[in-house]
Amino acid sequence: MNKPALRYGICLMVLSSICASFGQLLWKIATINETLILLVAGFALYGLGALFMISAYHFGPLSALQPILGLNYVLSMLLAVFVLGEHMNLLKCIAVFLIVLGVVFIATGEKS
Amino acid sequence: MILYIFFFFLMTLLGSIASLFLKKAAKSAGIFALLKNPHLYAGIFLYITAALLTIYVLRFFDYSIVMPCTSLTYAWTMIIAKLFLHEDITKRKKYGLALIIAGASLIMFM
Repeated sequence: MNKPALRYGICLMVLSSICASFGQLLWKIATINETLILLVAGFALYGLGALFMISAYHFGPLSALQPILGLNYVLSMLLAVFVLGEHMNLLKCIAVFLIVLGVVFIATGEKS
Repeated sequence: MILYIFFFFLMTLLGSIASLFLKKAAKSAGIFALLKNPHLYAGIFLYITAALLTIYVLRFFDYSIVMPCTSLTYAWTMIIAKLFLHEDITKRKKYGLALIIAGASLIMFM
């Protein structure tokens, strides 16, 4: 596997993760403010994220790229605290850590 | 309370089935075959339904609670793969599944 291609694939996955997290953030804000346009924008961002993800698959194996989806959950927590002002506690952090670990295990779980 | 847990389960199950259909559709050779493939439309329909359910649940719960629960999609994908596609699940994947269920349960019940 050539390194520059994989790096590019990882960048695309990170972009995908950012788009998906922000898209879903817009959904949450849309439910708070009851604005339709934010809902649509959220879908659009989410779709963009999906496109980035599909493009990324050209540049590396799933086992290297899919763990990056764990970033979604970390980003969600950060956005929840710093944008939405939601409460954070140790249990939630532990839960996200467990989930991210689980995602990495599943993504790298195929015998090669 | 039970109703909301049911919604969490349903939205992740639908999301999982949606990605299954989309994956099947992605095997189409070329864009015209893709557009003719019913799996594409089933996948899109299920995905939008799952998204709408997610948005509905977001009305009542914090973003920091709903989003980690979407990881249950991984759980469903694995159950479907084992039961309906007869795929083998490696030990590591089972540990990963346990970790995700543990994390999601922690979020849901705390």
